[in-house]
Amino acid sequence: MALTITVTGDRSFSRTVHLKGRLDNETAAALDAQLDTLARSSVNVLVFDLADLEYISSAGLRSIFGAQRTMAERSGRIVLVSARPQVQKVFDIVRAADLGAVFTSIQELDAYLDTMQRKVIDGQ
Amino acid sequence: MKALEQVFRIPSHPSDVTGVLNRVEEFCLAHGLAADTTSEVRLVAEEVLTNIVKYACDGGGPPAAELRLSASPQSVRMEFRDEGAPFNPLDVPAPDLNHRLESRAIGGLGIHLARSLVDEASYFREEHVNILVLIKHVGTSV
Repeated sequence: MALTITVTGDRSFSRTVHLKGRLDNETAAALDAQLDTLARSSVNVLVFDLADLEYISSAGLRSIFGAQRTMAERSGRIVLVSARPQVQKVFDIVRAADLGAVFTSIQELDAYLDTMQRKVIDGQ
Repeated sequence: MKALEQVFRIPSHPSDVTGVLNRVEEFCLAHGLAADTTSEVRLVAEEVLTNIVKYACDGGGPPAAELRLSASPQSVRMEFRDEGAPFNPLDVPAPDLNHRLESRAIGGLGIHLARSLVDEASYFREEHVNILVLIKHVGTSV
């Protein structure tokens, strides 16, 4: 079981990175390459959908922390959604609560992005 | 009941670590450990092995290194042995987790994770060998 990375985008300002499998010493480089491309685009919100992520090690945490830094540098942010208990435990150990908004369901995330979208539209 | 032990040779290149981790996982499952425990043992092994492979090899050729893994109904015991320079990973200070992530130095997380997921940790140097023993109790969640 390696890692499958799928990027989708249904809002102009956000992209969702779906991770399936294992984000570890072996697979983190592939994610870094994808994130590098995304960081050069103009999205404000990077969502990590972790519903199918079964395992994360410190190598994987480094990739996600790196993305968080890159996004923060240009006033963007990352959001984590649907982490399984095993994966959530790893984030809890490194106290990554301030990593970005953490949502437990896609519905919760959608409500958040809808609000953000309205703000973007209202602000124009 | 005597714990069953298996010895895994630790590879000299980071890209070969996954193969060892897959076999560690097979060993755990074959000894009746739950999927959650097995996953945590794999994680501990990944963090320590990548550390050994990365740092112990700095001085030139790869050191001889091995993992002795044993499981009993009560616990899983991981004994990492390497012939690299003396290094006690338990002396590494825990990363400062109170800083916001943007300002946090990236690094030191792996050892911190490994230590957080086991119940007992000890290190000793025997002649020219670093020995790190990590024990995880079964049926408890650290």
